[in-house]
Amino acid sequence: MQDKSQFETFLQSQSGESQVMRDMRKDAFKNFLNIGYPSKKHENWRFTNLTSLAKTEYRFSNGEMNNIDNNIIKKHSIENSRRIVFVNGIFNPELSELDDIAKHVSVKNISGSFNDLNQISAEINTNPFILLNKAFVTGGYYIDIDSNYILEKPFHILNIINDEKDDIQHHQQNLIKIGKNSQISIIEENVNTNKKELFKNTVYNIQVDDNSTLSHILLYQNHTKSKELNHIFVEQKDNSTYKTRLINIGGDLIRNNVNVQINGENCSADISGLSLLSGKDHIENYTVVSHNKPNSNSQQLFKYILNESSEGVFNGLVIVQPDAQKTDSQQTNKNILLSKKALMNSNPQLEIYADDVKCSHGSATGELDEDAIFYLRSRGIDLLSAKSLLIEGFAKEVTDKIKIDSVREKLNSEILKRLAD
Amino acid sequence: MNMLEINNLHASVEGKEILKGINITIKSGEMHAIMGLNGSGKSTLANIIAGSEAYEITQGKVLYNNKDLLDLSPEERALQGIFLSFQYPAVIPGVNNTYFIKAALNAKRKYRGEAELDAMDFMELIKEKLKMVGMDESYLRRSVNDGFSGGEKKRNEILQMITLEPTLAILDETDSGLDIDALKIIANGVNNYRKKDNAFLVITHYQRLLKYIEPDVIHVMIDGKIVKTGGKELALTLEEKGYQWLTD
Repeated sequence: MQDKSQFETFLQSQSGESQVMRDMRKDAFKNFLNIGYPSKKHENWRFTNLTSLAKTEYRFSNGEMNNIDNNIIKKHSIENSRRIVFVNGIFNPELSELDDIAKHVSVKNISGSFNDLNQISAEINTNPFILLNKAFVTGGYYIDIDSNYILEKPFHILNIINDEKDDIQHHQQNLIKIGKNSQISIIEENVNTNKKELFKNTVYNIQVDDNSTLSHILLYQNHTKSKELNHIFVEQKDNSTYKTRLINIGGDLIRNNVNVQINGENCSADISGLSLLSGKDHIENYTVVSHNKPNSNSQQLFKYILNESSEGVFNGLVIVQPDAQKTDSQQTNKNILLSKKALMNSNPQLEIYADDVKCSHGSATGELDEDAIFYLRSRGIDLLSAKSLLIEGFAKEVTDKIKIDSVREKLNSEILKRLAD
Repeated sequence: MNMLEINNLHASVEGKEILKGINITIKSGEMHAIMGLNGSGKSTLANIIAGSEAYEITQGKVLYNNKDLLDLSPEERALQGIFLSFQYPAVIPGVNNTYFIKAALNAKRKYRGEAELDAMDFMELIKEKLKMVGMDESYLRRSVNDGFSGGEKKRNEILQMITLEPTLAILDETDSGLDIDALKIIANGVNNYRKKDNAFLVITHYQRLLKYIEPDVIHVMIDGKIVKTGGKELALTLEEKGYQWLTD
């Protein structure tokens, strides 16, 4: 997919960029060429079939804000929220609702702030997709929240890709910085109107400072042709809370990599995901939670519902560093297979270097409970409705973590709709 | 017309024959009891009437209101008025108990061409029914049978019965695991529901329940067959002599 001449052409199209930026891109692309796409021999990529991705000719998304169809805004509105709109990675202030809080919250285009990416993790120099991201990034958001600020309504980020002709690749970097003693809730919705193939490669850099709370819901309703890679890097300082809910419905190749560095004491990290797959969908969640300081807790709950010939992967690594005494960490992965051809790979891992900790992990994969189905049918509930009830009940443990009623209800009805198909 | 007619029913599971020619006829208004030891096939019979697909019917017929019952799916049987109070009710975490019972009731109402109940009307109705089985409103907020004790599960079965108002109610070992107070409440619930146009099939191996729910007919089942049929005195005879004398 990416070769030298494509890169040169791309570089030229990014007019007006600083030399620092250009050098960073060149460096990143050079490293990418040396390393190449991960093969199945790489342990963390052994279930990921990248052949189609590597072969497809994707045009780079045009980095411009195309006209937005107002119906899209209306269709995706959430009551009692503050809307923030980015189109093809570019901030649209007119459609966003930020004026009255400008003193405490800064939202702008990421361009120019790409350098912040360098502080996160060693992985950024060796992970091919992050290198591609550094080479080809054309947009993303930079959200900076003041200290001592409690956001009274959640942000609703509409991340819209409406570059519709051709197969498109779009690389985006998103940065969220929260000051001390602040609280913020974000619902991020990916909307993609492209009917051809989309390859979206996003790197998140999230910093939660002392005593702050971030709740981040990522809603992806992908159509069958989208390939999305998300690398989410999070750093937590003392007494902070980070909650994320990764909701994935469908997708050709979806992979979420979450890397949480708990660099503070008395922190809480709550990472959950719900994946609904059918057809030939393929969804992977790889999480790394590193307890680097004592007295913090983390919990993970990932649930998958797999139908037809779909495939799911869950890999959860919890690391407890030697100093992280009194760590309390739980990890659970539960999966339901609705057909004989569906496949689930589950790999929970623990690396514990401290001796006074409480860590547990569990994984269970099975089919719908036949006794429960018969019980419901014996009360007059038809077979399809009985199965839906059970699946809804299964998903509930994750969807109930979404505290914003309208979002949770809309999600529940979307799940029901998908099940009926 | 007979409500339920079972003719020479034979059924197996995994090649092993459990029911070896069962014959029972139940008319409207009647309360039948089937007594027998564990393994006699009583629960198998109950589950087959409810529509369980776990068994192979090798011979025989079952008619419900003169129509072939074995042809119908479990949900169709329920909609046509059959109810089974399970010996081991399923536990369904994540599915709210109220939501489930309301869905079942509305499925029945829709089938009968009646208007479905909305949340408020249903709450009014269910609160009345809860009182009748001595359950408090906290059971409405829980998932189906999730964390319920044995006795609570049985009460939840009877709660469903008096809400769904079946025509033929089969109670499979409803008394097992109940203390005497719970037993009385359940018996009350059942007795208050008895009418001339419904019928009961009560399955038990202790005659304790039959002191409170007096059957018209008792059948004794041993090893997949009904070996004796009699009136309610049969229960006392079994209490005195056990089951052995029937096979001698």
